[in-house]
Amino acid sequence: MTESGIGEFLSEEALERGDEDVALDACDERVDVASGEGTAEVVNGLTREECRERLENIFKRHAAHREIFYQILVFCQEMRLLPNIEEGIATYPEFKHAAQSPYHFIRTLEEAGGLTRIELDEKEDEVTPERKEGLGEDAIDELVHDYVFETTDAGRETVKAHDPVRRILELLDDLPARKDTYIELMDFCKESPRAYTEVGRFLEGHDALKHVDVASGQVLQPSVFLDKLESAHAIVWDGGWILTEEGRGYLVALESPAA
Amino acid sequence: MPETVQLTRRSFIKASALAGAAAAIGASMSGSLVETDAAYADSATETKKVHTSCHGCIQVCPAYAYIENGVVTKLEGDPDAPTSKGSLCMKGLNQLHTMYSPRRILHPLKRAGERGTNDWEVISWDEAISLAADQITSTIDKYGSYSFFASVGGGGSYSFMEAMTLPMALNSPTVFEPGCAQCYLPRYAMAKFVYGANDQSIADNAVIEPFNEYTNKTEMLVLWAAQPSVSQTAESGHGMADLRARGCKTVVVDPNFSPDAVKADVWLPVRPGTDTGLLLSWFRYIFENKLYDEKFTKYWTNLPFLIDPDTKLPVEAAELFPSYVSPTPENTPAYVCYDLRTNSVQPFPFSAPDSSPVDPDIFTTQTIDGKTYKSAGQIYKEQAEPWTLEHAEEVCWVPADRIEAAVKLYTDADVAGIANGVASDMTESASQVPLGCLGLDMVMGYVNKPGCTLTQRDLSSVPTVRPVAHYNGFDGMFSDIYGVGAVVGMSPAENEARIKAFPPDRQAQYNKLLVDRLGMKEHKGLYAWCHSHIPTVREAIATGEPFKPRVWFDMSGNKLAMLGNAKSWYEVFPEVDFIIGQYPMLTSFHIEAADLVFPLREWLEEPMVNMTQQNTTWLQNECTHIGETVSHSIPAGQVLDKCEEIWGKLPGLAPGYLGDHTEADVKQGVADSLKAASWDELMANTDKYVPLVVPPKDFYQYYQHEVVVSDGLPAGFGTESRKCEPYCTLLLKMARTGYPFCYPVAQEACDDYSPICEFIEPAESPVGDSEYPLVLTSGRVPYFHHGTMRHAAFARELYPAPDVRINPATAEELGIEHMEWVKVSSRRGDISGRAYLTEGVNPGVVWMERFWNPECFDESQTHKTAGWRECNVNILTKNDAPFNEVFGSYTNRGFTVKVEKGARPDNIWIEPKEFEPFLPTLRSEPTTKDVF
Repeated sequence: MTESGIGEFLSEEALERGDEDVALDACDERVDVASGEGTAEVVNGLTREECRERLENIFKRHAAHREIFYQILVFCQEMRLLPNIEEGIATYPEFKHAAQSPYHFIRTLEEAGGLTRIELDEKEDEVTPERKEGLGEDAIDELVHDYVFETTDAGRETVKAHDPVRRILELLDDLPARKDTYIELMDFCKESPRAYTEVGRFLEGHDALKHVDVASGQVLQPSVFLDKLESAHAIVWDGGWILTEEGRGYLVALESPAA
Repeated sequence: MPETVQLTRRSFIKASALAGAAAAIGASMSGSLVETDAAYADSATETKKVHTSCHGCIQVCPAYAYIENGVVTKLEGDPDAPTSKGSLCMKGLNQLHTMYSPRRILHPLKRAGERGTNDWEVISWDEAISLAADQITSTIDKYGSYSFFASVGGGGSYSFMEAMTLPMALNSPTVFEPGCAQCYLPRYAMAKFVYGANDQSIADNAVIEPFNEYTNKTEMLVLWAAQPSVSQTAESGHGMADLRARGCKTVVVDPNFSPDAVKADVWLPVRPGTDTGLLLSWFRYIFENKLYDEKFTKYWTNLPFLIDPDTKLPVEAAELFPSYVSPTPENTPAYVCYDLRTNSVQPFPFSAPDSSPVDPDIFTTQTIDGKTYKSAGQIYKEQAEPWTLEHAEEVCWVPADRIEAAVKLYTDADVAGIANGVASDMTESASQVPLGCLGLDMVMGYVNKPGCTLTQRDLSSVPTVRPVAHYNGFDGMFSDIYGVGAVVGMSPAENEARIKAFPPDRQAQYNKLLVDRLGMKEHKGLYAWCHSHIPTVREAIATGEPFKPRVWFDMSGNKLAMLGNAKSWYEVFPEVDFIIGQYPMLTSFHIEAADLVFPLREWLEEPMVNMTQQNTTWLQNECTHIGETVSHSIPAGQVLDKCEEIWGKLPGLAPGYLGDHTEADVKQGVADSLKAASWDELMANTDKYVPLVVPPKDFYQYYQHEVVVSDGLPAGFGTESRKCEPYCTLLLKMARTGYPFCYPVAQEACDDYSPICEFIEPAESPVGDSEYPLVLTSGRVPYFHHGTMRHAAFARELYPAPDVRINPATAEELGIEHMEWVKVSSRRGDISGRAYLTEGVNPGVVWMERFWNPECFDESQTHKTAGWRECNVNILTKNDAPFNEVFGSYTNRGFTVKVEKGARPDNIWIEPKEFEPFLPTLRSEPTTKDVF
């Protein structure tokens, strides 16, 4: 998703009107266009609905690795060789401090029905169950040369549901009083990665931090804003807090004459 | 460690397997000899008997361990122990099942499957430490230090200090323990606030005098919300038995007919959560019938002080008598009373009773310049006035004549005392009950006397200067290190001078952690142990505000069995990015939540000096060691070292972490405590050092408050007034500014805390609750301590599932029969147990122990669960407001439930044979050297 592609997910029409709902619909269209033909209804014996539920559970229960899961599902919307996926994962900023291996994440998604695995022989032909019939374990191992993975229908729906553009827009819409602070912070993280201490200094004395949390009676810490922006995938930690492509795209869209 | 015989593992295992096989088929070995290593065949079994202490519960009874070739084969109590006298209870004996349990983890484990599964990968210590340090440092780099938090287990947990100081080292304010505000902190802290000295807890070894057979003066003892015979069977239980045998009268206040209640002269089955009403009825009876110790109350308590109705504080003499010059130093203010000698309001300076210039009226109301002042005693009297015996009977469900019989026993004795147990800590009245219990002993003069419960021990308790009380950590240790917190009993000038001596940047850093600690604004009593308010921490995790704690280092067993409203915690686990645990075996918490678990030593393996028994201190020995397990403080120490390597410098306070980093440190610390030059010396000559004995004549000290000290006055107590303060003025100052904890920087005020005992009807009350008409309370059974030992096969054989103790009349109404499975529901959830019909609880009350079921994730289970939802009373408990005002205590006892017919949950075991998989299997594990 590049800056030049901003117009693809924030329709000009929507920006002109300031209509974020339409902008969100445009996100949906974009994802649908990228969906391709989709995969089989039943995966690993699970229905599409069951897979969706499992995937949502993974996203909910693994906040620290959520973006890794998301990006794998996005990446595998085209069929991908396993080594390529693993190499790709290793480049994600979020992976640097992940507690599990790339293959663990792939397997987790596969077991939940978000990815489907296809075994290939040396000629890159699919090794179907019929071809394995009558073969022993060793023979099967000899036959299977590689694996490719593809995002399932349930996986694609999950991608759509967690689209960062949607998340960013929903975040900014959630508490209007904080919107400006989020935007300022995103802008602050635009050019170079920012350490937490820099963010703390940037927000020091800011009105947004004066909000008193009801439960604790305490004012907010700067990490609250970082956490929310990160959850929306507007920023990412890569040696410091830096804007993501989606976050950058939002700011560009905001600054565009159409906005 | 005793030396083991040199032999090869192969020959040992071969011989063991053969013996096992022969036993299985009932064959004799005589015709089946096989070749083995000559060394093994020639060697004799080496048997050693070593000193150690049982850590099956908090009291740590002295014991002996018998060790054969490195394997502990037998445990027995040490007959030289002054209170346990050779007793060892089931909890201690269970250690042989625990030490060698197939459930032990012997190596660091990293999660391989999803949270909620029991799939783990064994990794090296280096990898485990690096992983933990990477998660901690990267998270703090991203979100700041407040993203880290720690937690620990309850009474008896080894890691209390480590969990408290680990966040300090990382500049985080967040640590909690499911006990703390719900266990011991209220009683511990209230005693400090009220008179600056030891509290009324038997379990925590504050109360030892009743078991003192050296002077043997206890005539009468009230067990208020305590059951030592169950909770600390071998020591305090034995002590209670001996005490009763010596003719001591006892009163037990407990909704449950506990073993101590069975033996009591009077049992008061108080309605759970209404102890404050019963306490006030005792006050009323004592005041009305003038049964209090008049002299002590007049001269050693602040009850005669006139109270300013606007400030609620005692009036200082200078306020009403501007030209008055007090004969006492600045650290001992003079107050005001109504003098019965002159029938006038007069200054009331501190002095020995017989030297006092006034005879103060305890109960008085005076009008001065149009303003009405009541004495603190009068305020208390008016508070107690509605609580006639009849009213107490109606509210507290205890017959009036029984209440009267109990009070008479308490007041008729020459000396008596109240031992206040944990139950009251688990209610909204967590501060009020100790206020009441302490206040009663004080008006009766049962303070510092032989035979009472409020005593101080050894020569260090004998003052030479005006007593003071230190705050912020135990005995003010953190105040002394970081320079925040007033010393109560020092004058304002003295406190100011003391604080100025500390580096201001360190003070500022510590003070910021105090102010930013979650829940502190409302519940400032938590400062006493530097702990956060648990529900507020949970809320912060759930919402991410005011900051999100997201890397968790837990140093305990089963948080899901111990935290109130366990499901509410389960729901927030996904918001925590990385969870580190440490324990000798996996529990529900590790299954559901942990990403990394460090393996710990069991008490048979870990050197320690912990609790004392009367005037003796004992050794918990390293009797053996298996696997790569470590002593409890080492994982955090090693992880911090790695963090420091990554960062270059830790971001928190210095010294920060107070814990050992190596086993050598652990052992040297133990040797130091027992005054041996080294661990080797201690091992070579254990009998010389164990036990460490303080001569009785030095240990047992009394009447310390009457000792004349350097200023020529009797010492008094470590309070502002130098007297016992049953009208607790410190609570008022604490609520308004955070004094003494936050001094010199005032904390934001909250609503005033009540300075005296007041009645609070439980928020969930059976009175008028038609949906949940019964009231539930809980307590211990003798087989287990907190969440421990549910894996011990023999203990589970005796108590496989939790009883739901229910009165036969209530059971009949519900159509429930004895030992039938029932469903118990609260507004939080429902669980199962077996109905145990007994007159030992009132109609309308049910009693159930905490429980969890480790068999639920046994490999034999078809559909494994983590074992915390089936029978765990903490599914039912209440962790939302209202909380106790001072400590934020939530409600683990005294909330409403309904009971109906139910069914045995899937996965749980009941029959003895089902527990066979838990029988010990690790005796053949080789003994191993220290890991660090």
